[in-house]
Amino acid sequence: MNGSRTRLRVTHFAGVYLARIAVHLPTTRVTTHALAALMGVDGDALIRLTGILERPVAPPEHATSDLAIAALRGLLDDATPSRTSEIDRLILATVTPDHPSPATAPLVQHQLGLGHAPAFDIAAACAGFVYALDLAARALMTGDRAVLIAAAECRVRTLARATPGVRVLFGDGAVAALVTGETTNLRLLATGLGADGRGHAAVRVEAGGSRLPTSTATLAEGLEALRMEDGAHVFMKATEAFITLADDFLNALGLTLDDIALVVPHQPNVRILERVARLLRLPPERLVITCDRLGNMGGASVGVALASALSEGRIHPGDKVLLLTAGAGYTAGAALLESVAPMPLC
Amino acid sequence: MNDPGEAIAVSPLEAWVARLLTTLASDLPDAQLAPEAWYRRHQALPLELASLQVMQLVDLIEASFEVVLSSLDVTRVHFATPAAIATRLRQRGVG
Repeated sequence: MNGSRTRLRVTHFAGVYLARIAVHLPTTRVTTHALAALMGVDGDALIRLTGILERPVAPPEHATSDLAIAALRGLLDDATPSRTSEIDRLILATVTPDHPSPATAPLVQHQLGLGHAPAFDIAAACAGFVYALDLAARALMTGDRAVLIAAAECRVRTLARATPGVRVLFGDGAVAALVTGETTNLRLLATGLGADGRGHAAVRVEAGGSRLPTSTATLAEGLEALRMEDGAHVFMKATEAFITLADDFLNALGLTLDDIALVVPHQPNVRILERVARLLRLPPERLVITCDRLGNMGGASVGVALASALSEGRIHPGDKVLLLTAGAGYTAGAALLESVAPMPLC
Repeated sequence: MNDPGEAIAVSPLEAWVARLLTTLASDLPDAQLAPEAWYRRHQALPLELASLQVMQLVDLIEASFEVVLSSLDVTRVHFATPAAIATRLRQRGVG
């Protein structure tokens, strides 16, 4: 492991693998037309402007922990009985925890019977999965045998009073991965992480934290809902973040996009990804898009898209796969994976 | 300053942008969307699609000219009115 400084914190890894990956998507799908009818707006316009047709929505009795547990059980059910005792850490990426405090990860750890393995949340928004993967790799480098990472968001129910243009974007779901030092399926070659707090207010839930605790006044103003005050600017910044991230990360690695078999980005909306593809001159067969059917699932999106690509046979041994994420904060995270062997999907 | 009653000259580029805006605005259920309303808070709009429509406008501009707009171009100041957009496009070498 060694690091270099650009605008990104780029780290090379050796001997770190994603052994398994599992997804949990709620079975209930809400179409954009149904959502539009609920909000009293034009569904065709929403679809035309976002490219999102439908999204999974968690049932009322399920929270983020339930989605994460369902995904993680998918991993562990296929593992050997001794596997859970070898889990040395659980990292859960989410910005929609079950409760403001404490973290959701210990609840998940208990439900999964992971003994006393350290368990904690990270809040890196849509870059959460890659941030968790980076942390897991570092834990392996310092002695952990196996690390479970999960990214889960139960966002839809929090958006009841968001604007239609925001509400249409999101879906619920979770992804989980087992990160080990055993030579298995997907090898992690490098990560590149960064953040730019100048954009902190651009995409934000204003109330409910220590800055502005929830009150009757904040509820009256609907400040518990996610807001994008300047959506067009956020759209442009997001596009630029993906492109800059790809350029900086690949340049730091001495690679170009021609070396990459498949780009798996975070899934903000179809239009942003189409613009990114156009500006990067990336043909559709080398870009994974799932948000047309799943919406934006925050930190879970990139992992779900990776699992989708695996299940569709779009990743072959020897392929290099580039994960690109950019999210609120602003946060950004990239990861370079190499397929070693076909991955068994859980 | 223009004399009272004198027609204000509108550049071809500004007129082209204005026509695009009219087309995009007609795409909304409420066609009263004024360009400057794009950046108003959602309470001011019947439907918060304005920012997404800005992106449609960006796509159309880029498809029509040899230019790639950035977040420095798509700001409240530069995208406030057809005239402002046209001015910014000229600064970027368009028209």
